[in-house]
Amino acid sequence: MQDMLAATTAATTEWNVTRQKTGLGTEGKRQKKTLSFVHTREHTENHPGDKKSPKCHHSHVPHTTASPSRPFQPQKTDFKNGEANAPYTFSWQHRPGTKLKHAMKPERNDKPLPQKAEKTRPAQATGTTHFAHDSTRHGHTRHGHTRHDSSTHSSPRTEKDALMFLPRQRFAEFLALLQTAGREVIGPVLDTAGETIVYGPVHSPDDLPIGCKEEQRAGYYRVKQSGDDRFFAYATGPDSVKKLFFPPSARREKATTGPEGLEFTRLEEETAPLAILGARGCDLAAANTLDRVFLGGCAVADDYEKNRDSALVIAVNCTHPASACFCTAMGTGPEVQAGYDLALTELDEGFIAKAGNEQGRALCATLNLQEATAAQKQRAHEALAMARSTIETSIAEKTGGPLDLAAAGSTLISHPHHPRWAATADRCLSCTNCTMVCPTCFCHRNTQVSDLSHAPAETERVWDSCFTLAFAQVAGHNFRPRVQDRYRQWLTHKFSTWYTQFGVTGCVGCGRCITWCPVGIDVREEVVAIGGSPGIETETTPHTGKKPVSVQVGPTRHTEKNSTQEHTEQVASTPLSGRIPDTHTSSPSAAMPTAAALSRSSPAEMLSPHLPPRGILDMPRTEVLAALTERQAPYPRGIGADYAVPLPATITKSLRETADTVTLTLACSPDMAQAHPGQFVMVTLPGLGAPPFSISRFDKTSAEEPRIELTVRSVGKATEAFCALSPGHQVGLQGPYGKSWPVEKAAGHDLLLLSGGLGLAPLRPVLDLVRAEPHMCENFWLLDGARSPENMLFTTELAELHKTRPDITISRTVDETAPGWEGPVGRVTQLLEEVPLDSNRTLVFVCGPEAMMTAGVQTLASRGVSLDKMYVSIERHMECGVGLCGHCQLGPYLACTDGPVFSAAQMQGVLGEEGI
Amino acid sequence: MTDLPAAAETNSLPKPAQPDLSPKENLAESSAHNLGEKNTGPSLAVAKFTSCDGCQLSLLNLEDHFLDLTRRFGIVEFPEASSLRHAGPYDILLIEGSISTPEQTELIQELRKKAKILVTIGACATTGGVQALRNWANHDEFRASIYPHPEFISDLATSTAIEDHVTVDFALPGCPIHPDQLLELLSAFRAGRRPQFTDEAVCAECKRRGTVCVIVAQGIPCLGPVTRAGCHAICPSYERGCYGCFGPKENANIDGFFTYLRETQGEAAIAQLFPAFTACATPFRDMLSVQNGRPVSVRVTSPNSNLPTTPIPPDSPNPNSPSQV
Repeated sequence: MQDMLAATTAATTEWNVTRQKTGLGTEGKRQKKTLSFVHTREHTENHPGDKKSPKCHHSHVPHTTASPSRPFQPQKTDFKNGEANAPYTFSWQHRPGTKLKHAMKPERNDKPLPQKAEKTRPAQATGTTHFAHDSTRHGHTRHGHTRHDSSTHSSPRTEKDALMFLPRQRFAEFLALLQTAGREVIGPVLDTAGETIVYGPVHSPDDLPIGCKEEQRAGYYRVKQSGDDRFFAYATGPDSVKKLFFPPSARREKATTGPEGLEFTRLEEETAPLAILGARGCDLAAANTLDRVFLGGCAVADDYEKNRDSALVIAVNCTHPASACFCTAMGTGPEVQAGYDLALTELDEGFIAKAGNEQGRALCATLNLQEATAAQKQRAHEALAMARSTIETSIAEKTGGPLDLAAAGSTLISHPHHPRWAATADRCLSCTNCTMVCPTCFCHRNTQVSDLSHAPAETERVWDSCFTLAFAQVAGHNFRPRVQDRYRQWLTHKFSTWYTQFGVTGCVGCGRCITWCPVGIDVREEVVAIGGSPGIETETTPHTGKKPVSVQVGPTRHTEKNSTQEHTEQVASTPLSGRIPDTHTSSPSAAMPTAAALSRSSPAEMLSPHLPPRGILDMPRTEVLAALTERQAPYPRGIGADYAVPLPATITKSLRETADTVTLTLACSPDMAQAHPGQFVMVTLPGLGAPPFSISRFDKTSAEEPRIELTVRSVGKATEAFCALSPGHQVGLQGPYGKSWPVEKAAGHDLLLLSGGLGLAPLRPVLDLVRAEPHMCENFWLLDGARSPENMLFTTELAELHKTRPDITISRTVDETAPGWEGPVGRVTQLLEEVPLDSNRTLVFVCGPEAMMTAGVQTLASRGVSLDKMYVSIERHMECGVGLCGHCQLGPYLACTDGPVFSAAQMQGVLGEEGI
Repeated sequence: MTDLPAAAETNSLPKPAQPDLSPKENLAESSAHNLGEKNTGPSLAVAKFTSCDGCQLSLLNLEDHFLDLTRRFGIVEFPEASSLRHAGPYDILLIEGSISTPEQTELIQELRKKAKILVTIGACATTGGVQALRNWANHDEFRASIYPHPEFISDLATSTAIEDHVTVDFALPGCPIHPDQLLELLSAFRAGRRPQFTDEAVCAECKRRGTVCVIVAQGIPCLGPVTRAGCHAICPSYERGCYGCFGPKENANIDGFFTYLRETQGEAAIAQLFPAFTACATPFRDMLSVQNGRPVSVRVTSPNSNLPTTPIPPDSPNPNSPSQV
């Protein structure tokens, strides 16, 4: 025993020495680099930034501070602990106001620290294991626990999983073990044409693409037979694990007519649990990202949760990257970072296996694997180092210099008018291939499925793409008609605004979009061209992809007011390390960075001190997050709030307002009693569609049987059908959703409502409040514009209100006059001239066509009203209403959860911008 | 509460009341047939112009749904299936085929008057079809080379889409149309919704289906990225490139695509890509030019693009030879 111990210690010591020689940096650095996608879920509001908290296992990972006023604060690194190079931490708190409802229960964090385990397993290497990263799963389950009972946040320093060895001839046995408990093994296989490696069922090792190698570059993919017996000597194919958790199409709910009327039932597919073999670092990082989308917001995708949690993940560290890979730049590979049960690294004679949690250890134990020899570990280590350097070399070729791709990408949103967008749009076919192969793209639409008999009507969720024309279509307008708008939307979302929405980058560097683009557009080149050179146009012909002008933009660093020299020096020592980008870009108010720091700061940092801010798009990420008003609390699950299954609601009254507009009163669920002015509901008309409608009146007199009114104009088939409904008919209702008008701010203020056309409908509940509570605000004006007198809404009730309440001023105008009209004619913004505004204490709510809202805000701003005292209500295409389908994006926001009510300050650079 | 005003005169079916979502009745118990004048549903007719009948066959390819169709709609005229004829008027008229004779130009005008909703089905009716290749050709020469007495042939020099002659309410592309799209169209009529057709590229359907891209993985020329989806991406699933039979998608970037394909796959490989079943659809038609009375060559024309514009002479022996600019 002692001999073994001595031998092991000697071996590991030798190995440690070798590591240092290969110049991969100190152990500490390497660990931190690979911690990029660690969730720090235990950093709830109860433990604000307490590094010493026993609940925190990452002693060297920076914490976030969450507080009610500033949901996210940049952390202060402790340089003394060598944390200057600490990677960006992704915390669930990055989505302000979101509590992870299904977060691990606090008691999970009280498990004994792995330090104890360290002491009881002296045979393990001290310091770190070979692959120094947090090798744990981040599946979230509904019941507050993961399947993996090991702590998901064990510090790599103390995690002591040894590297075991699985001989090649035992792989069949390993596969058989995976197939127990009814699991289906999905792994890499050659497709039917034999030309591509895709994910498919694997029954025996012969199904794997033995001896296959890939050659991949922009628009090109070939598989070649090398003749050896390697199983995993390639990178990625066109599909990813995304399709296993989030399938291309899925039936979600069904509408039938039962004995009590309309009934909605959920549809679920029974699938066997999977064992995923061969998932790569980029794929698992992507799954981690999708967790944030589907599990970390206001609504949770049940089927995704179930698929994700039930899957066993056998990951593979990449030893043969493709030329399109750039995982090192995004911090996701080539080693697997997190989210696996067992990670394999292939050698000639077998596989190094590292368990990520109890499940993985159990697999190793069942197979009775022996620890790998030092030589084997060394070879694996070298293979991975080689893979890493291959990737870094190919990135360097693309970027033409020391450029932090991730950081450059994060600034894309600040360049909405860069000429490169139009140039690339000339090449782009808007064919949707990039979004379809991307492992993080999640946008989907809901189609109605009904056959000739029309019963039952089902809803099917289908992968969609922001490159389609219909993606940003609303009645009468399309927000992204040009391909260049859509290309810009995709790239800025992927690299920039994803941070704002989900706290991580959306790109995992897998390179699939590069390989599978039919015309070979390379996003690395695009990012370099647009984000790489601050304010300077790169001389690149889009077609030939010439190297861009070399730019000296280094990794971004957190330049604090008291940034020290040692901080910048540490940056200098690692010029091209594929470093994880730092979100803590300096705020405009920070002290001017030193010259040394400037040469390594991001374009955004360089821009902000020199150019006037252009609004939210130009703001550093931390400011953006702080500027977002707190997201709505997570929608309650269960009654009425399951976003996939509506609740039936009965129409109790139908009132025709104008020739094409009808107000319907609906008896709805008690949830509606909690609704606020400005919120909306998704109304399901079985077989027709599920459009969003703003609530135009609340009747909460009876809390058990609230009523809401929806004022709808007939502009298409669904609204036409809706307007034709009569009392007794039923529809499906989901909501209330969205952010409401901030009526609580009206106290002590004058309140001005500015509305155009149907925009009066979402404002009417505010009017109701003012009518009911005379002291809600000081002075009150409602200025309304309509196309013509016949199109004016709520004429009777508003006329009556104007007469009976002298404190309520209502002024209405029309675009075109008609006989009998004696009021003003002209734009509603012209009515503003007659309003005696005190710009210091006026709160404004504007709702109407976007051009009208833009004009209204501009006019009022010129009269001195501050942008954060003006609120608008935005309309976008919505498929889900709860922040999952991706359709309602505008700039960094989701209209359904960050809006639909936004302040004008938030809307700078967004409202009125073409194609945003 | 005011009454609803009288519905304006629109080309729409009587709206269904609250949709009846009760379980489907047993088909066997329903009364037989609905081919004929006695029926309860809207009347459905099919008319044929210059076409191969493949799109009419797609209606029959609905198989079980076709039986349901006969119950829900009264099929009053359907040349492929029945010799029954009906003088009109029709609630829904499906038109297959393009206009290529003088008589057809008059007939289409009459049919338009008789149809409440006119739906063109298939590449011939929506774009002129493969026979529209003659639009670039010298028609008299063709006729003379085939018929000994061409003076007895009464036809037009062009084959044109129905929408070039009358207003069309819906157009179902495809060669042939996909039965699922027809089913969706008719189900949408029943439900009262807008038919859910997308104008996304075939690539979206290939990827959702799990088909591997033939361009990228096999170097096979394929028009999928600029062609409209709807066919469930059949052809690439058989490892052959899409030939654009559903016509161009919205904003189809022909120039960009063609330029790239020409560079990577060569002139010969793509010479025959565009002159096919939807050749006359814009912007596919911009790819063809007339040479020697035949549409044989392909050229890039794009005044607004910053891509190189290179006219390509036809019948060139070696498209890659230096003499070609």
